[in-house]
Amino acid sequence: MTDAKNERQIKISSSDNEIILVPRNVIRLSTTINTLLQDLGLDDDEATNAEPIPVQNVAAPILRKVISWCQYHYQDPVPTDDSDSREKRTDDISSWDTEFLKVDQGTLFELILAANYLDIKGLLDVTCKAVANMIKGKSPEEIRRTFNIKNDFTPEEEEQIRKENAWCED
Amino acid sequence: MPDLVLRQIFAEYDYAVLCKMERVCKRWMNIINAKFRKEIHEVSIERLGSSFPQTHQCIPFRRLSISCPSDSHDFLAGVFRRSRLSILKMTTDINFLAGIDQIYVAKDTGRRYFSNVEDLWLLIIHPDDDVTQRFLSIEETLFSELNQLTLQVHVNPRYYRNVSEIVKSFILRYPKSNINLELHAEKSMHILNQMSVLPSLPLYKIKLICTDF
Repeated sequence: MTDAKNERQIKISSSDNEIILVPRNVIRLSTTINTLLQDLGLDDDEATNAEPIPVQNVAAPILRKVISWCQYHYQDPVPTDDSDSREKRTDDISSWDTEFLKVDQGTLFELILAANYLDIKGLLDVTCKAVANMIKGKSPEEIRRTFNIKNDFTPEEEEQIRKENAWCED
Repeated sequence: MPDLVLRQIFAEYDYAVLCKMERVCKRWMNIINAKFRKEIHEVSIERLGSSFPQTHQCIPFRRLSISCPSDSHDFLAGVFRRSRLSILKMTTDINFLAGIDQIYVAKDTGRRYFSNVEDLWLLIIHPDDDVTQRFLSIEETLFSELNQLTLQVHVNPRYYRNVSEIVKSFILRYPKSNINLELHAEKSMHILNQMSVLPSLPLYKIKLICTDF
């Protein structure tokens, strides 16, 4: 098992222009950055001191949190893709991730957007699960408030849907 | 939230939770209903012995099984709003079809209710005169073209004639479909009596289930 500390470091810069060093093996979890490094030939030895890779959609505090998640998980076995037959479980978040996700709602949403932008599947899975858990028991009104969503149904449309869905909204 | 992220969040939920979520806004409703259109190609409706609506979605089989009391018109209106045109296969009973006009369905007059259903499994249990008349008066509005039709008749001496009328209407309406007939009864005499009043049938398969010889 290789030690992340001895790995080649990659420089990435956040949306607020902070430069963060991250081991090559750790940032591999981001498909976006991994593909970029491969496509630009930055994995060659002579390319070590390249310009930082700009991550324009993610600010430094979130980026650091994302990297700490990758640091914990970069040696996880690659999950097999059986999402179609997978049972629906929203309670299978590991205890480390549960601690990691003890953040305010705004941070959680920013983590999701960062995981989506950087294409880090495992982080996107677990943050989506956390949001799914968070809103599962909420009423449609509460969900609108949580996500700051405008109700765009006409009163007539809403009344019809409310009638049709009374069975699942006790 | 990007659509992709919402779809991933919605992947965590079962049918009932998603139905609650579709009321949030039109965008959520569209994403959820697109998911149902992809995932639900079969609906099985059971209306015996349940006191409140229940749903079970089996994604590998693209099937939604529902059970509900016979007066759950609003619940069924919701199920059909979401899935009416993506259902290819349906299992239900004659009483449900006979009372279809009590369920609110947003379709143009002249259009069929379930125009994409190709495969129907129909239970015929208590086709009294009222149910039979109502069914015969609306049957032309139900389906466009059935390929597979299974009629599961629970034979009852009181309803020989009505069963015969219903079966005849299917043969005339869908002459190209493969018809499977299942007759269930306690006594073989009842099955024989029922068969004697049936019209001549271009049957694909017949199954007789008799529990007492």
